[in-house]
Amino acid sequence: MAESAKDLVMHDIKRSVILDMLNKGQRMDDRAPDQYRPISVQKGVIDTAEGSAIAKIGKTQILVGAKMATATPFPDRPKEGVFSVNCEFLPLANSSFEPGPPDEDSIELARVTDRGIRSAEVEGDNSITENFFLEEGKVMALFLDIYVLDHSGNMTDSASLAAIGALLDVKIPKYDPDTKTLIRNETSGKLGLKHLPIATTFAKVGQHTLCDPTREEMLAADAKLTITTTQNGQIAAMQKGKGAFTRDEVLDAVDVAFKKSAELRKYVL
Amino acid sequence: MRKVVIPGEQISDKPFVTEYTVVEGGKTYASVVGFMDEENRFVPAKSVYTPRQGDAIVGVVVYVRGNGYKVDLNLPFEGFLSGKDTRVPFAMGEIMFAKVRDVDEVGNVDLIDARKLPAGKIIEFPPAKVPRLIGKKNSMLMAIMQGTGSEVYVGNNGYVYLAGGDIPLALRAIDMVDKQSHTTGLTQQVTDFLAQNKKQ
Amino acid sequence: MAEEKKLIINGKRIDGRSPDDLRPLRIETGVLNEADGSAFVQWGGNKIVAGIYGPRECIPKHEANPYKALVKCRYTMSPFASKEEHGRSGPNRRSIEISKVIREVFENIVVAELYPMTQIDIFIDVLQAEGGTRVGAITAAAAALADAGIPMRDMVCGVAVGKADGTIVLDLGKEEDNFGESDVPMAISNRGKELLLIQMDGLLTKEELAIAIDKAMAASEKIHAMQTEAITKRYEKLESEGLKL
Repeated sequence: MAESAKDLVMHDIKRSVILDMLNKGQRMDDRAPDQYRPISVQKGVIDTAEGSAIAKIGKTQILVGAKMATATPFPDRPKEGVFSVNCEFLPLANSSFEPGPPDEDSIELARVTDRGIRSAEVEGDNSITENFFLEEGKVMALFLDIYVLDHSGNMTDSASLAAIGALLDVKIPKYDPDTKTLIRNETSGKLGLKHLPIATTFAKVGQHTLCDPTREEMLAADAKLTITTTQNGQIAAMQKGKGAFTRDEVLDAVDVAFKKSAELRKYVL
Repeated sequence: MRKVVIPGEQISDKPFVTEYTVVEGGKTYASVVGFMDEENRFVPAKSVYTPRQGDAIVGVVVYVRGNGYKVDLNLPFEGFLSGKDTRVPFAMGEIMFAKVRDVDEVGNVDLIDARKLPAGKIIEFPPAKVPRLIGKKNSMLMAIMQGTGSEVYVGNNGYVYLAGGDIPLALRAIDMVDKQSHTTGLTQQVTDFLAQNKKQ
Repeated sequence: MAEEKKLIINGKRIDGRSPDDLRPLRIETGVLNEADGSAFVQWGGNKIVAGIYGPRECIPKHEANPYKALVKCRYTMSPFASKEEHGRSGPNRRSIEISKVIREVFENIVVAELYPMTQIDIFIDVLQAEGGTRVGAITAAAAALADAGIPMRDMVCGVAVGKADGTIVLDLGKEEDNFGESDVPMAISNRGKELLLIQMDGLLTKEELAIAIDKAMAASEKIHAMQTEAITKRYEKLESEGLKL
């Protein structure tokens, strides 16, 4: 996603107008600084996946499919299941997305989503993968694929909602030890999610900190920060994008993140 | 609602060659989605903008060259304003309202009569619906400007410029024109909407 | 394997259809916000989304044609599109071939001469698959191109006809695709009734092929009517609700 001279000039124009309006206390779509665009999450939308959800925040639409398979465990963790997150910026989702292998932004989005879920739900006690051991040399694997269908800003929070929605939707297939394969039509239960980590993304434009930045606000932003928080009062992942934040800005953002993730979480339940 | 015409549908048994039609066997077929108007003429609902001589455009200077300016017009290629054709010098990122002087066979656009606009917001609007956004004798444009206090310039290229006033409200009104462009009595609806939502 | 599975019992197919029935089909346009045009097709167990960008600057520039726009097509299948395993993301040999034959459908009908030096991108993603994805993809892409305002000489839709248990059947389901005797995916232009795509595998006689084409022609009328309705419906509702999977 290399930016052309034209893009840079257009961003510059947009930034000055956005900043000018923020200084007058107004966002381009009339939202309060901590207000999200309309949100919806729909689970169970892909029949071929073990779990799925589509999340929409404003005009951004992200689909996550959860697929389960049998796998060979990592040699240093022979009893543990495999959990993996991948992300595709589909070229139909934005004019700036080009066909080709995942670029650094899509890899970052996959890894930030992965870390939030892994810290809260995979590692430690009550792991969602704790029953993934099948037999010596064989475990279950859970693959999350983030499919960005429409990028109008704040992909991180949309992906996080869709990912948690897909995990909540997962029906674990039964394992047949005789054929050593999964029986897709029979289920042994759900993943027991305990923490429901949800990402909250902030953009700093001048002196203003905005929740749920649109694509345009993100282009105009000086700095970007994502904080993933659980329903049990813990921070599960953080990622600063471009720019810089002070200590107090980060800690203030954490407070807002807890408040906002509690609101967002209602849409996945 | 008027009947929607889809690509490939016959719209006349006589040949009419336009950029929105194809002629086969002496008959005319629509090549894009559109409507038949009161006089049974085909009006495209959504189409790709093809610049024509005399069109008014909103553009942004993206390169300053020795001999003139490359101008982003929301087209596959930048337009060009020759330094000889403007008395006002432009800097990168400055916005202009100008006219199309000429278009060559591969779509290169030459500009003339450029007027500099102060810093403002640029949005994209479907070019096929630009006539609705302007309205009969500028009626829609005037309604939006009066209802919001914003300065609005509409280019045939689909770039719309806004500055001052209540821009978020103006954006909502423009969105309303976009979504309801095929309905009648729209100017009145937009006027009413703006009156109801005007900030005190 | 083919002998093992009965695909037609008492004149009915395993999903209860008669030989000339289509699977349930739903088409919607304008489902994406960012793309210049878009469409979604749910066809039996297929869920396919198509998005259009362009005409835009041709990249790489040296590929640009001074006489017309290049039509480009990318068909891919999601890693979760199949019930069985977790697939790999991105194009593979199969999807690259399908992308090519779909592009060769649309090169016939897009009025590319209007936009020299540019490209028109057709992006198709199969989110969920149940056999017949390429004809669903063509049906979605045509509606998406119309939604994008790309000029076309004619509309086009796709449909497959095949042979299962000795019977010529319309719109193969997954089992018929896997265990049937043959499969003929086709794309048919609406006004011109030209075959813009025809592929085949398995075995058929010339007479059987003639029947297959006739059945596809008849079915294309129904599919075209649904495309028309999807395009028209977009102008009846004021707000797009996005993708309804």
